[in-house]
Amino acid sequence: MAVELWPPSKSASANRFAREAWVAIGLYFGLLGAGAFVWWRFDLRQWGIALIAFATAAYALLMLRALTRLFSSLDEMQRRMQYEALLITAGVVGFGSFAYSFLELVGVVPALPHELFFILPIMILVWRVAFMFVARRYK
Amino acid sequence: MIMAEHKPQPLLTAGVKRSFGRTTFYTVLYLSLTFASVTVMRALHASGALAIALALVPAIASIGLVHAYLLGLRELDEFQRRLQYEAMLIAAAVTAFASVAYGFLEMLAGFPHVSAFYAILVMVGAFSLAVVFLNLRHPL
Repeated sequence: MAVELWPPSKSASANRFAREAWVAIGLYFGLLGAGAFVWWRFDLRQWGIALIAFATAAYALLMLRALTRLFSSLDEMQRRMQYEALLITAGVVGFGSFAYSFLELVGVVPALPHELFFILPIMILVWRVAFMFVARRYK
Repeated sequence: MIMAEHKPQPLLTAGVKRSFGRTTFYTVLYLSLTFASVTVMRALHASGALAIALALVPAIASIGLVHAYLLGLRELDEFQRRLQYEAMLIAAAVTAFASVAYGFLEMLAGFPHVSAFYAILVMVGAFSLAVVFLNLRHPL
């Protein structure tokens, strides 16, 4: 069976996912830009910044919805591969961040200033790589 | 999203019990290796390559843990497997969002620095809550 890599292309569900993902990403950057502007222009209190930070949750919710809908539209094999890749991602990122913190604690690696920002891009990258490995195994 | 018709099977099949056993074994191994490597690191005042090697020792158990969970998923019936998958997706999304949101709070609002160590705790916590929530939403 030919296994298509992420994202599955040229299908109605893939197009819908692309649309929904772009809306979510647009909203995220829109909120972020607006938040940064408000923060720069006005002297916000902590709760104001917290409100802006949590407003970006809309992005997470929209992406979650888009992904759930996409996965529901996949066939059983494709869905299983995606979720196996996700499980590997959770393991790598979860235990990897634990190991990094451990090394940070004993002073072997430098303490990154805003290390939490790295988690999302690393998750996306690991998911992609993990999916390629899972797809190869199922071929 | 979740299948509308589901014929429940006994949840604790022999395969699921076996999987629980394997998962428990690797969890205990992971905690023991973490404890052992911290102890050795402190005793030897390890640095450089040795410290990195010691920090990566628990990763052996974490690979086993992920593998055991993966095998366990294959033992579940279709419905339960989908619940687990969806919980996993929710946990990943919550972790990703929480890390970005807190990153902003840390950077802009002067919130205290939080180590990446908490990512795994958030992920496991969100996963557990999502499993409970999805099971309540779709009772057998």
